[in-house]
Amino acid sequence: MSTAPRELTVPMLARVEGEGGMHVVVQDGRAVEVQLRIFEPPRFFEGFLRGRSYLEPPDITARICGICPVAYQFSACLAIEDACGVVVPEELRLLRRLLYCGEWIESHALHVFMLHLPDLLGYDGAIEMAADHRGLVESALRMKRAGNELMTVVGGRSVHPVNVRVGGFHRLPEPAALRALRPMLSAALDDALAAVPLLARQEYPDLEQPHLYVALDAGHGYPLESGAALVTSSGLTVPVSSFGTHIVEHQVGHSHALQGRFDGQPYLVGPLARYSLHFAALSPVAQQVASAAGLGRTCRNPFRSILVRLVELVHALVEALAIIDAWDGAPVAAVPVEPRAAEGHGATEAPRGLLYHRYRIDGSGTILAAQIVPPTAQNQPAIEADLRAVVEANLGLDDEALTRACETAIRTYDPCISCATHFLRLTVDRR
Amino acid sequence: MSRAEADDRRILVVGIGNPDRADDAIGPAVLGLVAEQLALRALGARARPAGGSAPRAPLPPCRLVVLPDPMRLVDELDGCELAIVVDAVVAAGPGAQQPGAVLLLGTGQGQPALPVAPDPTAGGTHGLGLPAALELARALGRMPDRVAVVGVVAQQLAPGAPMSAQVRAAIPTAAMQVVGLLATEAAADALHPGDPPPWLPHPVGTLDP
Repeated sequence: MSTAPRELTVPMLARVEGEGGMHVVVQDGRAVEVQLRIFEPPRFFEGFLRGRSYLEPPDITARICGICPVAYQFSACLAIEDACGVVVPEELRLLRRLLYCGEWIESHALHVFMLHLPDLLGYDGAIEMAADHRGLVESALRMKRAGNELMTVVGGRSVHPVNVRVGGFHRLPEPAALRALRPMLSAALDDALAAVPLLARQEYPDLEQPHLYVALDAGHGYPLESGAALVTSSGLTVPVSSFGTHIVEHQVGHSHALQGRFDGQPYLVGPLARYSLHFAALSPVAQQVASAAGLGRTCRNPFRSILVRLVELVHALVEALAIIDAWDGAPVAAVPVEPRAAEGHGATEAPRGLLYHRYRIDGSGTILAAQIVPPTAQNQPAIEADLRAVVEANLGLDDEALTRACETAIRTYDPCISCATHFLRLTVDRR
Repeated sequence: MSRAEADDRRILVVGIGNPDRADDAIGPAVLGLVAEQLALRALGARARPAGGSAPRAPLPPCRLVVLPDPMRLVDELDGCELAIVVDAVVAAGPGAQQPGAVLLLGTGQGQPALPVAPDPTAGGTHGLGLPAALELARALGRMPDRVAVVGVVAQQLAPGAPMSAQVRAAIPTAAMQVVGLLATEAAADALHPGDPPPWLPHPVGTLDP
């Protein structure tokens, strides 16, 4: 005889970027229903873009997200440049990588220390944590500020940068201004390294998930500002232009966000995928941090993603310093990009994972079609699978504890659910 | 830090919001009008016509900052004695004010936190809402003596949508509220240098546009 279903409802999950909800129904020891319900503004942006000039997507799509505008700008630039048959010179690619490092530093510092760490240390949030760990929170703010300053110097401002354009930048940063960032970035690196022992000695729940991992290739180092192909943990290499052949988005009744599947199966993009597929491309310092944090060359435990983000934070700081040290200017701030009737594809690695853009333009440069696939939409089925695993492994917990476990599991993904709206409603209801 | 720099840091006026999200643009919009008023006051104080009416008292030196992310406020508050923050407010529940209503709330060092609505979605559209950012500043010892929040009740916050007519109509009221707070500060400082004016309890009240 089956037991009565147990329905778990948490109306609001704090410390995530986005608005949505979750519903879980448990019956006979199984999570028979797990729904992550989210709203997703990028769908509207695809509509806004039709009929606009091919030069506008970097500025328009940057507005999708206040946390990862650079990701939207560069995925848009790459797709438009692909359509127009342009590849920017190496100096400009490096400058893009530097700006992208700023976004990673800002985003990862925020998530690791202000959003995820309170769960590990047993606090309701960063405010409560600050009372006991003031120095740690101060250092997190310093790291975030270093990312902000880098974005301001290269991007023109720290949120929604204005210096990015199709073909390059509106103007090149002054070398002296770049060098002036060095002390702040070095201090941020020291802060990140100082946090390693604290994070390494925490207890992490055991949960190994078999998700298919997908990330950009490492043709230009650890995947970040560009890539020619997607690589997977199953050994596939797929050109970015074939994204739509393998990754298909499905509408589900309980969510406004389309859910992505790779050749029909759930998959995961983001830090765990990047790290596990491209450990060898990390800087030696970042690899040492991984080792000190107790990570192997791959990681399949979503709860340990905080350690992987810390490794990536260190890597971004090291790379930013290296690019600044080697920066010798560029001949031009941007190269001409003339329109032609074509379709283009572009993908970069946003802090939360692969961000894909596709544009079809006519000969005058008018956008006829646009597609934007953000990382959290792609990860949605994998997050639901992890929630199912967390619920079924913790059925003995009371509602409050199980709810907290679910919230923590969702937060490990740093979901940028709406990239513009800011609350997730989590409903866990036992019947 | 020079005396002038320290004076400039003493008073901070902040507009929080995303200019491309409908009524969330109220913070930046109000800051624009406040900047205009400050410039006009400065010009008026220098160019008093002979025999003309007495110029209005100059406003105290202050920093004007537009922030898309309330968390950045934690950094900006460092070294600040008075912060005036303009932000969109989502009012919910019975008795909620109409869109465009201008609210004035106060907090500060030694004062209670801003009242946080039980529904966190009423806290704003930002990842770390304004009340949380202020309380984080308090936990880090960066809470100014006095914080005034000029909140404008929003009607819509959809990405890409224009500002609603009601909220647009409230821009002058909210800006004059900020200028009034600065003028009060200047007058109190002139009468009792170094002795700040009595501070706001909260909530202070609603000003109809």
